[in-house]
Amino acid sequence: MNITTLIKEAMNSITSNKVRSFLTMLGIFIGVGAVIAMMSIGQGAQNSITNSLSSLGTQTLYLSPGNFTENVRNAKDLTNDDVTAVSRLDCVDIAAPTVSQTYTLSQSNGNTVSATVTGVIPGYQTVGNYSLSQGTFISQENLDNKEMVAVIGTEINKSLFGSTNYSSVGETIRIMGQPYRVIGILEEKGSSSMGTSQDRNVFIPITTAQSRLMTRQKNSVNQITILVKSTYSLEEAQEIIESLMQDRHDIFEGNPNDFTIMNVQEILDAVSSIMGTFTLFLGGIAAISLLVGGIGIMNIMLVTVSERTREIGLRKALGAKKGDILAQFLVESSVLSLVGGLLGIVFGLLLAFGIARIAKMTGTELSITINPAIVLGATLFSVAVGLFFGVYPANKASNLEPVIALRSE
Amino acid sequence: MSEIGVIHTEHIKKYYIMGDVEVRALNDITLDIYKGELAAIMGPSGSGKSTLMNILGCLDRPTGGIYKLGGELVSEMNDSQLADVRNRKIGFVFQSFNLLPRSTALENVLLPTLYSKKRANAKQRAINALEMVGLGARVNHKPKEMSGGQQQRVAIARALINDPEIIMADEPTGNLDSKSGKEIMELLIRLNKEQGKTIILVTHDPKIGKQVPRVISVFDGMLGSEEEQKELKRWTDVNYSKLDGLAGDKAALADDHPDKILDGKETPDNQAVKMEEKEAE
Repeated sequence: MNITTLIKEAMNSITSNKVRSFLTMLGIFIGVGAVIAMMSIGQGAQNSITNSLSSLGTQTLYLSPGNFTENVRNAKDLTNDDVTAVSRLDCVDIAAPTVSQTYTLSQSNGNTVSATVTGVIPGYQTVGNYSLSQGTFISQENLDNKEMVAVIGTEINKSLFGSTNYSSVGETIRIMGQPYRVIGILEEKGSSSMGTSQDRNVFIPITTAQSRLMTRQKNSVNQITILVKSTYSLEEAQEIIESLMQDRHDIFEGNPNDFTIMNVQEILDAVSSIMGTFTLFLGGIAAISLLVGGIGIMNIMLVTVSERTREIGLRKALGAKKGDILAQFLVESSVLSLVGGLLGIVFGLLLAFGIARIAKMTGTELSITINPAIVLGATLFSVAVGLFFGVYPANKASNLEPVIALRSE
Repeated sequence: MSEIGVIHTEHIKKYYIMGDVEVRALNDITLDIYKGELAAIMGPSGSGKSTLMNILGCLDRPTGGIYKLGGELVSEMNDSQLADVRNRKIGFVFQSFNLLPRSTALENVLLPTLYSKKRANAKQRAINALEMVGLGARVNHKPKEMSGGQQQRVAIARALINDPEIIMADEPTGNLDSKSGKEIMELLIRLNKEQGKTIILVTHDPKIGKQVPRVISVFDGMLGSEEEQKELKRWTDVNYSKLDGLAGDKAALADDHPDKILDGKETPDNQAVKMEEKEAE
């Protein structure tokens, strides 16, 4: 028997009992649908996270005090001198130090809000990729004169002034009771990849922060964000900065560093790997339903074989060999599974887009990524499920003795 | 009988093991059926005639003995070779027609060609076969749209499609009314006379036994003796037109042979064979 005849016969047999075939397909349909939906959503989430991380710039290094993995005695802070030394390096474009702490902000109308206040330099705008909807960013002049000025995010603007669109430039806000003049409002950015809202930022000149607000950090900084020149690779720059800092902090070779250099690429890799595992986990759970669907196919194929024992006997009497009968039932279960799988792919994609839509309505942007490999994989997998779960019933059918099969009712 | 028949068996046996008991369904059958013969295998139920038919039809293998079909040693073949022999050399006609209900007459007739190497002009051959059995106008009808007699004709066309040497018909008229049954028998006789097909019938209908030139009687798994063969011939010679139904058969028989096994009293062997059959179902 050639494959066309086999498929034709299989379709014939499947359509002869439509309700039963449909219910059997439903198992595979839901299974494949769930896998496709989960994978598409998972991959979409992964892509949007990595995209927003990459927007931080892949030429960026983060230098912070302390060591996250090992204990270091007498760890030194990052000082202003460290910042100067780092920024003098050849490979460094901008070294932007920051100090930050959480304060309660208030306004003369009585509104208060708690926010993280960060002391920055003008270059931080480039490093952090911030743009302004109104006013200007912290200028060198602000910095040099240790001026009491602030740039605020839209959410802070809303909390203090009642509306995100309120033009508060020129107004005065109070941080720890100290009056600061608003000179700019950041453009709305949405929540960051780490889940913190980027619209709740409050930036003031770092000199002001160190001398007036966070007086305990007069000479130290919390973090240095370093933009590496494009002529240097991130790894090269990381090595240069590491040896500079080891030198400055008197760390001997072999001793643990009292600082940490983080690399956006490393974070990206870590996040990708976590999200990949998560997606796989979701897909795995969905695959269990595919397994259940496969068992459903096996069940129905067994029923079909016993219902058609007489037909099998007849075919054998007319010259069908074991392989012919085996092929007939294997093709039938595979076609059943494949049709279920193909419908399931459509269903899964619709489901994924539906979920993305709902997510968008509730305020979370979720882009769907359709991976052709997964779609192809799901198709092949559903055929494989049909084959695998069809082997036992088909084998049972092919081993029937023609005499006994013909005698059955 | 110097010449070897198209069907040639020597001392064929078929034993079943049922628990600890060995049941002898067929015991030492030596038989030749020649090309172009029209023969009927007859015997009471449980006599082993179906078992013999299955072995002659290559659906089953004998436990012992030699079976040659058209010179090929069938008794030593494996399942796959047997399937091939069935496909090439034997056309089957069953009591209950055994047509695929969802397929048309043409598709049903084409069924054996799916498993055959001879695929050329399969469709034309199928149409010819259907025309030969007088169903040229019903090619695209499904079995349920046809009468029993027409369905059996489709089955005969299916048996003819691969141009086999032998046609095996197991109670071909058993499910038909007497008129259709008569037509089917006429068709089979015509095939035998006009095309020279070797036809083997299994039946317990004495009227059919009367129509065929040769009756092979089977009792308790053995061929009937000369004397028994004669008795059977006499049995078939009874004028049934005056009687009707099975009761009539028995009455007629009882008149002649009150002590004959045929009246339904069963030997232990027969019962065992029947049990075997039930078990198998």
